[in-house]
Amino acid sequence: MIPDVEKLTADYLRTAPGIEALGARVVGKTPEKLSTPWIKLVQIDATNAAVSPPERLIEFALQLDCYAGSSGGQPEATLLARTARAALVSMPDASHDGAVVTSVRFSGMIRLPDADFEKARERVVLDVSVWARPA
Amino acid sequence: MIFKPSKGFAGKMAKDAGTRGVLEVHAAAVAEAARQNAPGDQGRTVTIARDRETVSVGFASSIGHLIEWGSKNNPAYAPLRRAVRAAGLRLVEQGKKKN
Repeated sequence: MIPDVEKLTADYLRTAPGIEALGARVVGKTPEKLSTPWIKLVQIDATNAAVSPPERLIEFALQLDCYAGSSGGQPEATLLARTARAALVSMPDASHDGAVVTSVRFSGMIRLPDADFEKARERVVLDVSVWARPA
Repeated sequence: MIFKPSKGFAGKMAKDAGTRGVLEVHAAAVAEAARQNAPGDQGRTVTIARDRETVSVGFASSIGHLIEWGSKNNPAYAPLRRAVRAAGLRLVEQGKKKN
């Protein structure tokens, strides 16, 4: 069975020193409390890597919405996204429960304020590919 | 023998009939996959646009960005990104180049 890389990545980020220092939460849906920064992490795809037998090495496509808190603005959203990016790069060097992460690559990082808030909330959307296989 | 890079080579290749044919085939595949990935009837707004050097697939809809990336109240369906991957292409996100 393929690993749950969405959960694995969220757990990894929650304990990343930079993320903890920012006081940012890592969640799977918009939280109730919106005053402090958060990362909404969702998996948008999981495909078999071309160079691997089926269901062995998987490319997990993740989207990280890095939101600023109520007063942080663009600088906070950008810092959160860059901090997350720096943490994710080290995932292959870390141990993960039930999985081996072999590579992490970024395919997009766009500033896209979320206009669904009464006052548009600053957000940076980070597209990440995590290649992983069962341990 | 001296090698001299051809100025504007990339642009010339993009306009080549053979290259255009390949771009059209890939665009059609991505567009079809995006139509299937899009929620509700939003697939009908997927369009293919062409200029001198590029063939683009996108949404002719004011809410295309919400469908693709989501928001506080909307999930990220990511139909275009998923379509690119399904077509076996490498996804590189960047702004539109200006010549």
